[in-house]
Amino acid sequence: MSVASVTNIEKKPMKISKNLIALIVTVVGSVLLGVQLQADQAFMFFYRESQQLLFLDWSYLSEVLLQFGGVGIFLSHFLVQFFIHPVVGALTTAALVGGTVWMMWLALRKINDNVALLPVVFVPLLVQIIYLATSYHHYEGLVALSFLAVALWGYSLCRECDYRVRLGVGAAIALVLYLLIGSIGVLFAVCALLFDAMLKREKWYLGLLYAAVVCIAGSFLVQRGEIIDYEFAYTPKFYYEFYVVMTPFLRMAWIATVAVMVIFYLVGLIKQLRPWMNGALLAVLCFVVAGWYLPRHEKEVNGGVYTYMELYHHLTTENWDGILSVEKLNFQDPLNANFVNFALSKKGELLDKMFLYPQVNASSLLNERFGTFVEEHCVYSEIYYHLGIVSQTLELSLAAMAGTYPGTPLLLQQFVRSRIVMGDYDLAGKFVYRLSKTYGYKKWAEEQHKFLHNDAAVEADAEYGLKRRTLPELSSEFVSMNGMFYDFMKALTANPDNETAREYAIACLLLRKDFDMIRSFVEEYYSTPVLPTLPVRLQEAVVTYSERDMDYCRRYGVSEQTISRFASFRQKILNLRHRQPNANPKSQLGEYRDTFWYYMLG
Amino acid sequence: MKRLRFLLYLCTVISLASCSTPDITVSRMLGTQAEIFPDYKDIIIPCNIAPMNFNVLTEGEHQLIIEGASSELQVAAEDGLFDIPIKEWRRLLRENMGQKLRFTVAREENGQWLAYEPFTMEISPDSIDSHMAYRLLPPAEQWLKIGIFQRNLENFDQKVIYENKLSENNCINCHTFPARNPDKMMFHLRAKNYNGTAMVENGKVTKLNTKTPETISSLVYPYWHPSERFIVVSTNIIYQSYYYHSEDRMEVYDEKSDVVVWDVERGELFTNELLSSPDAMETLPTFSPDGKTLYFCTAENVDSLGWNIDKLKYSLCSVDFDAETAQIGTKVDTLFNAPKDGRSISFPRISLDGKQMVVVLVRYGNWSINHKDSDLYTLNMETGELKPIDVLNSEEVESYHSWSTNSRWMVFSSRRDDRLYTRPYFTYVSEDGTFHKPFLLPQQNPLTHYRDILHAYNIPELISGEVKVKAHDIATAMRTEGTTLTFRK
Repeated sequence: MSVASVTNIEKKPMKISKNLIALIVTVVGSVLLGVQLQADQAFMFFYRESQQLLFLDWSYLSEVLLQFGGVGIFLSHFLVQFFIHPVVGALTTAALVGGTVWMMWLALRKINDNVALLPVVFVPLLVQIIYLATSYHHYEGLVALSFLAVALWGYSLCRECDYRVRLGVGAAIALVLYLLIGSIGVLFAVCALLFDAMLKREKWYLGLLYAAVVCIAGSFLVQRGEIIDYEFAYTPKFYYEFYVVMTPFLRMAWIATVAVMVIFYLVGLIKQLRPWMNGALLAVLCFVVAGWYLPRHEKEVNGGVYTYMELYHHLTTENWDGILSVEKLNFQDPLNANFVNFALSKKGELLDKMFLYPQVNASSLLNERFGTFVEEHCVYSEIYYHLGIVSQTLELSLAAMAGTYPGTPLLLQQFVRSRIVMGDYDLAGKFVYRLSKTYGYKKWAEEQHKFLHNDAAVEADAEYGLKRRTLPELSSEFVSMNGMFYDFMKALTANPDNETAREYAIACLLLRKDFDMIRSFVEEYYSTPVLPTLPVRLQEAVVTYSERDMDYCRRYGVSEQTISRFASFRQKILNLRHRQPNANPKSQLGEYRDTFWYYMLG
Repeated sequence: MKRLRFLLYLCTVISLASCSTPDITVSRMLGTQAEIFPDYKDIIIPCNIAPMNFNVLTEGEHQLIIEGASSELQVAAEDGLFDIPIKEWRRLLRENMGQKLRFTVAREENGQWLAYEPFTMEISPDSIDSHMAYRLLPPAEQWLKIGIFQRNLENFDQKVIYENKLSENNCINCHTFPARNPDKMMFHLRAKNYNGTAMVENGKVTKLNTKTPETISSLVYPYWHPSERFIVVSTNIIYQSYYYHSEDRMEVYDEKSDVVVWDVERGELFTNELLSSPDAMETLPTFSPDGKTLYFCTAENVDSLGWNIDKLKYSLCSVDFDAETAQIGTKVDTLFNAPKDGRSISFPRISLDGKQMVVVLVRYGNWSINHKDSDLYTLNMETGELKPIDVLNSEEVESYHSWSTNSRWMVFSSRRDDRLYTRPYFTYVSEDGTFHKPFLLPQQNPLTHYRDILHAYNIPELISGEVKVKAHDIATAMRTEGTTLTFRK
């Protein structure tokens, strides 16, 4: 046995133990990350899934795959489609981070195999995770880093190659990575050059060729109009929505990747550290990295947006109790209030319980002055569909689709449902077909088949039948030209069985505190199919505007119970005002929280 | 070397074996029509059109027999698709020009081939322009992913002229060419940092800012003068609303509009009170092929338009135009009187030989692409007589149309297939002005293409060749400040 063989045998257990430590650190780090993501970002993963459509057919896939970076886009969308299931988002992301860290380690240990530095390898990935807290950063950014790690590891295997072979392999990897995954190829070119330089490989400087290859490819694609511009071609901007203005922090994941390599190299110049020092360094780095990441991540997560994502998830899963139990609801934000009132309506409890929640004004029911945000359009199109005003659903869902090519699952579902209600079966069929090519919505799409070209089935269906009966007569009248109350009444008069439209119409009148409108509504419609009986909340309004004429109240259906409760409320108010003229009586009238009178107190 | 030769030989044998299908002999006739998509039965096609591939919609093994005067071609269906080899197709077109090709679809049953009733395609010696430019956009006026594309009509190649991904996913407005000339083109971009009108001349792009203090908007619906010196354009303030319940899903309408003429050489706009009246809305202008007449649609202002949209009716008028002096005439002729007729007119387009004007008629408004009742009519420019072109019209929308250079072909937009996705149909127009059964733009696999595409074909314009401009150059030019047009008072 030669001396060299003996040395190898002696070194092997040491290597195994280092790899084992590295593996343990990677796995533990990834598991902890997964737990943190599930706790802090679960609804972000659901939201990502709900904002994309991946049609698993060749015509669409070829469109995706044949664009610059198309393979990365496809793989990201492929992974994200499974985020529809709880925990899968956090699990997949953590596994992707763990795998990437491990591949990076396999490459970087050739520069310096000090396992104590491993926590540093997490840094670019954690920065990437922080980016993912915002929806305008594409999941492709993380997938691209994973591919970079694999590419770098693959390149590092070319250890003993002739420099010409190495250059060929490096250039091929850079080009393929660039074309298939996107601008991450640029980062690979830089990392591969650094890698060769740090290992003092033969003619390492020729690694500049990789950057040249990528630059030429990028320039060609920009000139051909395949890539927007050079910023998209060569920087992380490729992994962001086009409207994002890049800040230094948004480039940090790439910078950190290079920095990690430099740190590995510089620490490798230091004399071998003692085992206890390595242990201490590992612990300190773990602490520092986690100590930086957690607060930074928390800072990046926008509370209001995250609450919206949570609400949106409950909306898409029809979890109405979930909406009502969201912790950070902000009732000053009409969108939040609209969600809550919508959930109450879906539970059939809008008029019974709406005043148990803070209501600001009629915009709490439905904010008519919504902006152009896709999110708002998605929600309002769902509310209008629930009301049976399907033309407005179409308008809003198509407007939202303008910002989400090729749409979102919910938008396509709304489109299908609206078209089925309107009897446009060919159009509905087109989108049923498209949805049947998705992973998460195939079953739903197949269930819609029975309604296509089948008026009897549509009319017999509780949901579709009601909506179809709510369609007004054919006319050239535009929707939403006269305000929401007019829209509600249009639906209600077309179909007096539309309980939702009735609830929303009454709720609108109450929230507006418009007694003249309430009076004319009651006097015109009481005892008709539109208003066969007076709901308790409306009785409370009637008794308020006609408190001196109880005969009028009784004539229009106000119950003795409401009259008596009003008398008691009135007395309590008078007593309170007498005792504490300047105090807000609301705090002491908790038993009336569900009433219109309580809302009237302001 | 020997091994390489052997491999090459093997590859050739395998590829020939997989490509060629044995010819069949029909045992008997079924006596019924084959169900095919698109409907290419008994049509007239140009002598330079791409292979008229189609899909058979019934299950089973199918074979297509194409018979010309002196030769025959058989094509086996793959998943119902008859993909006709382009070389063979061109040979058939060449050999049978002016004659009819006979298409027989046969179905295999118990080892026998049973044939459906044959149909024909007549090959017109009149060629169609080689290219067509169009926007591809999701319906419902979305614009996250839209672009202007060009399709070579002699094969299946589609190329990008410009895509909005290069300019903040903005809206790209209508494109136009002077007399089918692909070397000149203009279109407008609505975008924060790229806003303006792109003028392309022989591959060079110039940005123009076309909103002036005197005009109500940037330039919207354009049409070139045959001299290429002028473009007549409308300026429009546009709204969009949805109906509660109507056969037409939505309406796009102008609250204000005027017509102006753009002197391209001088970079100035001019108009007169006939084209920019405060009491009326003028829009959708066009020039006659000789450039001496300017046609435009005009409607009287309607009070509270959002509540009275069905009162918005456009007439068709004309004024003289003198290209020498750049003067607009002062006398208006009314070719179509909307208040009298009760309907509304849009998109007057005259064939380049000056013989035919085709217009679109709807009950009201001018955004005909959203009107189920929208149909194509010929309008006699002397008498004003309107005739519906029954052979082109369907129950659904027929709208925007463009004539070929030789005036023998016309492409138009139709939603007859699924009510939402507009598709281009072509019709042959005989010397005597007769229109013939239209056919859908051929595709390599029409069934999957038209089923899966999430974009509508919009503003199909026939052009005599390929537009040669780099999309990147357009984006780069549109990021510049550009030149602002002036208004001649």
